[in-house]
Amino acid sequence: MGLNVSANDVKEVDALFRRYYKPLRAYAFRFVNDWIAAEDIVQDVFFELWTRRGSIRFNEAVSSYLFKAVYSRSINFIKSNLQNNNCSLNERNERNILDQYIEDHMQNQERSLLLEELEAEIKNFVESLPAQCQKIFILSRNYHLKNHEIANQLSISVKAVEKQITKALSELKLHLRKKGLLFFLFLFNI
Amino acid sequence: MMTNKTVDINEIIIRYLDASATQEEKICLLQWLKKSEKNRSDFVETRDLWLACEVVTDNELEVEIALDRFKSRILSERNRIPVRRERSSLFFIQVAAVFLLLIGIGYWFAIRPNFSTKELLVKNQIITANGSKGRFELPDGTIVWLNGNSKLTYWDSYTNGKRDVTLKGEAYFEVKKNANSPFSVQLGDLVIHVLGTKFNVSNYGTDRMIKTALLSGSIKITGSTLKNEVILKPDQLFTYSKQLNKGFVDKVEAQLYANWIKDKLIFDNEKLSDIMICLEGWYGVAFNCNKSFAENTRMSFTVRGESIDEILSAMEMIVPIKYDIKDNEVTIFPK
Repeated sequence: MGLNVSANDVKEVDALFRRYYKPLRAYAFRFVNDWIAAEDIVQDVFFELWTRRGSIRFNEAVSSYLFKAVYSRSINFIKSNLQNNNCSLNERNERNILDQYIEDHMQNQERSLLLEELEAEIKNFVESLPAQCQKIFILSRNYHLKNHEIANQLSISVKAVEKQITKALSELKLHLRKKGLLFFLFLFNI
Repeated sequence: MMTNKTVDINEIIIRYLDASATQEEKICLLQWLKKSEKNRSDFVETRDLWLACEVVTDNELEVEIALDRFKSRILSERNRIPVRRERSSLFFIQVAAVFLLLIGIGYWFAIRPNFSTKELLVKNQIITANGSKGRFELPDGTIVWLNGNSKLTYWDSYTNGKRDVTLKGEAYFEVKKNANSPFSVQLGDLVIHVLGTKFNVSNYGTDRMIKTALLSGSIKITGSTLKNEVILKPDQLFTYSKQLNKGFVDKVEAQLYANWIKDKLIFDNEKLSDIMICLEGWYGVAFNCNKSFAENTRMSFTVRGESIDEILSAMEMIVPIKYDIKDNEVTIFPK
């Protein structure tokens, strides 16, 4: 393995990380339903990319490599989790059954979350939300706060937070559907 | 038409994504998903949209922190190569209820031009989020307190014997004395040159002014827009207007400008004019008040984790004032 670090390599991996970290993390989350695991997976994928930088060209095709690598690591993560669960089959609870069902039925397609087309539309939409709703939405989606943390911070009930997020999301869905953009989200393959 | 039931299921989906759904709700969601293909695609839409919103929002800090983690990992894998990298000791205080991610140290890499290409220079970046502050020790022993919403950049090993740091936001420095290695703070228009001293600098991008208050020792301030260099003596404040490209020196009690680094502010029959200086650093706001009124009004109270609104309304009860808060500016009027 080469020890030579070219300033160019560093610059390129830096740019790739900035561009793809969040989409890849969200992509991993779709499979593993766990933010910490999703973060670790993306970190591992970038580390592998770095160690293989001699053999992988940092060009546009690298995005396809990244999404595929995240996909296969996510699937491995689920499988090894499942094996651990099998050891104590009796303890498998409803949580696992629901997660398992979602894994089996709702994420078999490889879809990327490269949403440049949607970005402006979503941002405009968030800006158009009423102040309180916008605040909640930003704390949730931008700052990754849990619903109960948002409720704490704004001194409102958790129920109210959930209601606002639910409402904002279904309005956004309608809005994007009207614009014919929802389609993108689901058919934009890597 | 939306029935009550579908509203509920949407909220359950949100709770499921938030990892806060109860067992009962999970069973309910499972049954609902099993019911129809439409339900399943509804679920997928909501989940993917929930994720999409997360992806498109700007939270640079989060990415910076992840990038830092990635780069530290690369560095630690390269330990065979003599890279000296002392982590600054990191001591951290969370002031108010703030966001989860507070401080990130970023590493950049550069290759020294005339040196072994295997040696890396590491550029560190300390970022504090709004409402947080932290104390750091730089590799040369200099202590820096970084106020909220601020960014300090420095190199791990100082090249050519120079100690250069860049500051956006507010910081209090206790610079380790080293006559052979001048310490300087880059502030955009201005540069502060230091030998060994204590001073506070406020250089927020949103503010019109850069304020430098010297507690002890001496500092020299230069800038391409300044006609003459400015030498500050202890208990002097240099205020520089970024719009006018001009600055002036005032006699002050410089300690007041660095009081934000404490874990609480205690005012015991203090002048309102002094209190305002302390609160400016504490809350990252600017105060306006009639000067003679502020000089002649005294009050006593203690600030710990209260919000600025709580403190201002408490002040309103102690003395006959009214206040108005707009953006980051607080105006105080006599009542």
